[in-house]
Amino acid sequence: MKYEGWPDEGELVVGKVDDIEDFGVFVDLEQYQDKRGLVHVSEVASGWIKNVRDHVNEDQTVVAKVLGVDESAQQIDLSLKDVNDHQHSDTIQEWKNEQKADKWLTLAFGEDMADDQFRRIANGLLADFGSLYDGFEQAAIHGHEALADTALEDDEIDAIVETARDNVSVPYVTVTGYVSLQSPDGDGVDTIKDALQAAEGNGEVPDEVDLDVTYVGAPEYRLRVQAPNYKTAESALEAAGDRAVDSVTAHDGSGAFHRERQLDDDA
Amino acid sequence: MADEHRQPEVNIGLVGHVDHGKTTLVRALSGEWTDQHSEEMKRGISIRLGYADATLRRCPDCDEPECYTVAETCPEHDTATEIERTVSFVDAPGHETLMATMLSGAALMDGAVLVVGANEPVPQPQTEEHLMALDIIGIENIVIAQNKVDLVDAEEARQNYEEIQAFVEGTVAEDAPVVPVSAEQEINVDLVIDALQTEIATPDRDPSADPLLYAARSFDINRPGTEWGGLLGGVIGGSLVDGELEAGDELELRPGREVEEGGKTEWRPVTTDVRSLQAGGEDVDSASPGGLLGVGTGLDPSLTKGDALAGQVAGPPGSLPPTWESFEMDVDLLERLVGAADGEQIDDISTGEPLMLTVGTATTVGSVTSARDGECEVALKRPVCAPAGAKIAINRRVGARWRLIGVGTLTESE
Repeated sequence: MKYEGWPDEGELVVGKVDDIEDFGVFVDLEQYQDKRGLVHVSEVASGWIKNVRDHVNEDQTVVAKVLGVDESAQQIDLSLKDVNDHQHSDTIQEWKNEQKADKWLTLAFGEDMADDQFRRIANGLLADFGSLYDGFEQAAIHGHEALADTALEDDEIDAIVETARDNVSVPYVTVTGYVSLQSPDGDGVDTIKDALQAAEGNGEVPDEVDLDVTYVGAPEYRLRVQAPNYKTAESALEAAGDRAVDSVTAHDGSGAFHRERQLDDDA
Repeated sequence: MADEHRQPEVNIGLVGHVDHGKTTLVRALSGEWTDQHSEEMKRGISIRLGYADATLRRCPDCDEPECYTVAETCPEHDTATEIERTVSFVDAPGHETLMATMLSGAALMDGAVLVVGANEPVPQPQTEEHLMALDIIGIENIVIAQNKVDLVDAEEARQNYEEIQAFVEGTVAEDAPVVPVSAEQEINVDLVIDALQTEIATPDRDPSADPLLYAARSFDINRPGTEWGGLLGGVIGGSLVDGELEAGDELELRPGREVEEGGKTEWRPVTTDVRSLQAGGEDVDSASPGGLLGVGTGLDPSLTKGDALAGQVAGPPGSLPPTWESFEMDVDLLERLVGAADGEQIDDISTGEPLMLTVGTATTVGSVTSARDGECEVALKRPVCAPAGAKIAINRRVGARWRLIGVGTLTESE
């Protein structure tokens, strides 16, 4: 989807080199409808430039910084030299993500969806998430809940969530902690198992959190949490540890949660 | 076709000096290498008690003693061999610093094979000490394996044999047969089996008695990475000396576990249930005396890991002998220190001295609170569960290690 408006000053944009002149480079903006910018020779690269073609090629995809916009003159001034490698790769990735999200919208609603419906849904996602891709990513992680506050219809939300879950690979973080659990009772192994089941949450852990409880070497058990971000992961990990300790102490056992292993493997 | 599973019916100890070939002989008789601990593999010596079962067989077409074998098919006649009985070998460490482990294993033995290296003078220190331990614990059914005969010539073997005969004269092994063998080359294994069949009979046991289990080992058998749903309770390894044990039975373990309450420490029995039984490497529904048994319990595996419950006694609640934190014992000291080159005299036990005591499979340190002629009282660092009249191996600190100095008979508590 291409934006109909104008880019903002300071914005990083993706473009394709269209025409190379001695005084500079003309770039077609990929994210904006019928918009073209100029990179003056002094903004192509740092230092003295003998030949512009030593630095750019026609049809090359570039990332440029918007230096200024004159809507009345239909003119956009761009800079290539003000974009560092990190900004370049991030912007390209975001652009590729938006292209993916464009395809997902088409997948969700079909090739023959009306332009105004496409625009309405896209603008709805942009308004709430800043980009189509982030909208799909949140839908993949949190499901219907993520789109509840948007202006989308229920059936549209269903279609987006289903498509997101099929296509978006969610970036997860993994955190690990340990619980030391001991029970003096004759059926102590059952007390420990109950505590570990409690750690796993008995079905009360949110959908976006994946919690795994395994044995490492009595009395230590590993809690491994996968979640979309560290804050969620850390919070789920501590809650799991607390549930295990509360469960075992309620049955006259003892327990403690800790971040690192307390015992060696052969202890 | 493999034979039906048979539970071992007798426990046979292998004792003797370090590196005389006890573990190799077990392998020749059972096909199993009992050194499983990483440190044992590395150092080439047994550290913990090793266990292996062997089914002793005979070929119906061979004459005695050549008919005895552990193979399912006779190599000479290519006929199926018949099972005589299944036995369990308790491979005790021979290294001097591991004497306590050997003594705790001796409590499980119905008979013993004393392994003597033909390539070294007789007796070596632990050969003498282990034989004395068998005497003290009251093991009378003994076979002597003169091992490593492949490393000496006929004359040296004969001379070594005479040294063995002179050494065992006047001991519990005086009438024990001496079998020349090469465990490494598996030569004369048939003669060893013949001697085991003749000398170490299966004891008469009372299956209707309350089950009584001596724990020699305890483990946590869970593997790292196991999901919580697959977690198994702790396992006790030992020998059932009386009665029958079934899955589902309730078990009391004594002395149990140490509990700290209100600033003071006491030992409390632990009650649990039998969740699984393993005998002869196979899962069974019930187990009778003889052989070594793995008892899966409902206990938290952290209580059983690393032999933490070794030395405990288990049986139905209320059926076990008392737990002693201190006791009196009649003392019978040896005349001289066995295993020492100079065979120095043994002084009387004195008040205040520490002793290492082995009662059944339990080893504990006791401090002598009073000592009189032929008897003494000891306060134990770790309590033991034992009936009055139980035999106690007494060890004293001599130089850098504990040395066997005599036998005690538990009489009563303070």
